[in-house]
Amino acid sequence: MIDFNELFQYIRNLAIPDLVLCALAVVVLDVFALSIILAANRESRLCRKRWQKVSNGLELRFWDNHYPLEADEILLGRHVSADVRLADASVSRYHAVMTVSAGVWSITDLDSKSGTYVNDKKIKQARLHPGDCIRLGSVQMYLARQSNEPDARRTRKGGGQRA
Amino acid sequence: MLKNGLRYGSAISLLLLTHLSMLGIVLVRGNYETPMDLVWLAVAVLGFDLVGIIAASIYRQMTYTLDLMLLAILNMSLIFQSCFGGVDFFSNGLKHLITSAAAMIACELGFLLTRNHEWIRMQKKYIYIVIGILILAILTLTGGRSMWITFKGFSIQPSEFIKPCFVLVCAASIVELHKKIKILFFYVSKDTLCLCAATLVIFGLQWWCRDLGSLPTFAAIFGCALVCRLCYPRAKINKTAIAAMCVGGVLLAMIAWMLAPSYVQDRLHADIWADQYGKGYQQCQALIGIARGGWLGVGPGNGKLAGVFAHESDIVFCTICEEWGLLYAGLTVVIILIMLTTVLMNPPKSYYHATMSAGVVAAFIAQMALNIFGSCDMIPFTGVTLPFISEGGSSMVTCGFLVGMLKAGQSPLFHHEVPRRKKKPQEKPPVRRRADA
Repeated sequence: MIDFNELFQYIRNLAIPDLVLCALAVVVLDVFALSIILAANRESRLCRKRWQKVSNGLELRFWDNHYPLEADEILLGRHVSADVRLADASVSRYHAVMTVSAGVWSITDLDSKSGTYVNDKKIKQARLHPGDCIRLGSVQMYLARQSNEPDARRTRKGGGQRA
Repeated sequence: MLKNGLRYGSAISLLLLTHLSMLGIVLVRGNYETPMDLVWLAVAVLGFDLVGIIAASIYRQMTYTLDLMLLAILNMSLIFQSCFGGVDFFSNGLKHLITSAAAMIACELGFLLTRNHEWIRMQKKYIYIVIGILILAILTLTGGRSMWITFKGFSIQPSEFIKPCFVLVCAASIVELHKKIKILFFYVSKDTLCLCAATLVIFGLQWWCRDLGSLPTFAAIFGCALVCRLCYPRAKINKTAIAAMCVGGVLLAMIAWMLAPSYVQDRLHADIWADQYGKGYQQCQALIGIARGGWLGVGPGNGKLAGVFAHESDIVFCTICEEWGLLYAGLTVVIILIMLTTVLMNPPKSYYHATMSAGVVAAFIAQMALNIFGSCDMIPFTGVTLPFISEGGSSMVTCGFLVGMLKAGQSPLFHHEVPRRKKKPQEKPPVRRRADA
């Protein structure tokens, strides 16, 4: 049977300097914080990979602009607050919204005046596939796999390609 | 053990080592009567660690750093609280252990409830109803202009529970900003109007209940929601609107400063050293405690601040400074800040989760600033709790729930109902008619 009293008294009598003890505790806490930061970094890479799976690694291409789809909801429209701003009079302010689920993107028309077309077919809501042609008013864009070209212009706004 | 395929062995070992090193300090420098006081504390801390790690491994998540950080902070807080005024786990720490366990449960609950934004968007009206019920409870059950409901010696603060609901309302409404209606000459979002109305009601309630300490926390959450709206969508910052908002905020703060009631004015212009044994007693003692503790502290349980009112809640930072030293107290705050900044390393992929995370971080930072700077007499003393560290069930449960919301932003559930593309009806091959001869 351990005699705690004697053991504790022995440790206390060792007279470990306060500075050493506190420095040790501080170092341990710092190393723990560092290990957490490293773990968070590894997790962020894992989450990026997962997002690639969720989003299917797609991007919108119109003319020479590339817009990587990096949020689960992308608003397309003429308004300044749209994710993909299409400065064209034929496009409504809030024209359409793209959402993703398990690697499948879909587009929903937000009651726009000129309508949303996928592969020249007017839609209210539709699933999208790589290579699909989306037309909002007179602006035409394509859904494609993300390119790793260094000179690919990534943009948040642009004029789009006239149909 | 944890279900995302990554290894956490070193982080878990260091977590245990951190708590063991703190217990080592208590063993050598602590003020305890019998060794069993310390043994019980060690059993509670290490047991809580073990249970926490097992609990974290139940649900499949993408990230576990927030769970480990929460566990680390809650147990650090348990050790701090158990040592105030002498190491005694049963009289000082047991209640805190129970509230910490409640915070862990609230964290899991918050995570499960808020990770699917499609679902929470549909439940938005119920969140408003919950806020309404909490407000009614404050108005009717607190017995006057107070924020506390006391029932058979057990007190709860319903205004604390409004915080996560308010963050949720802010987050859930942002995704429908494009659904605007025309009122007179303006296009406005219905959700924004509802949010502004809820904000006004909550601010009015805080003012009426004289709980102006929580007001900046709600203001910070609302401010973040506004900034997220102005920057909607992601990363597009409308500088003019943000500048206008800042100017508006400063003007509102100046008006509130001028119109503040007399008891607030007293605090705003108080000279604590002129009234050391009156209204300034707590803060004077807190500052003296920090000076007495120095860099390394006087040792767990050896501090004199334990005799001062609210040493375990409102001026808890100073009590830790006195007993554990400014270095360790500062590092504790840094650990909380690191926990909040892990969100930046893995930014959320949806507007909902981004707004929610921003609101939670804003609430924590505002509350920490109010507590620490308030107790050090750098800003008026408000009596707000220090997240995760201060004693108090309502505060701990709310903090746990808010961390669960942060976790939800890190491990979200993307689930939209997508209509399947209709298959084109196959054209029937033309029936060949036998050519009549």
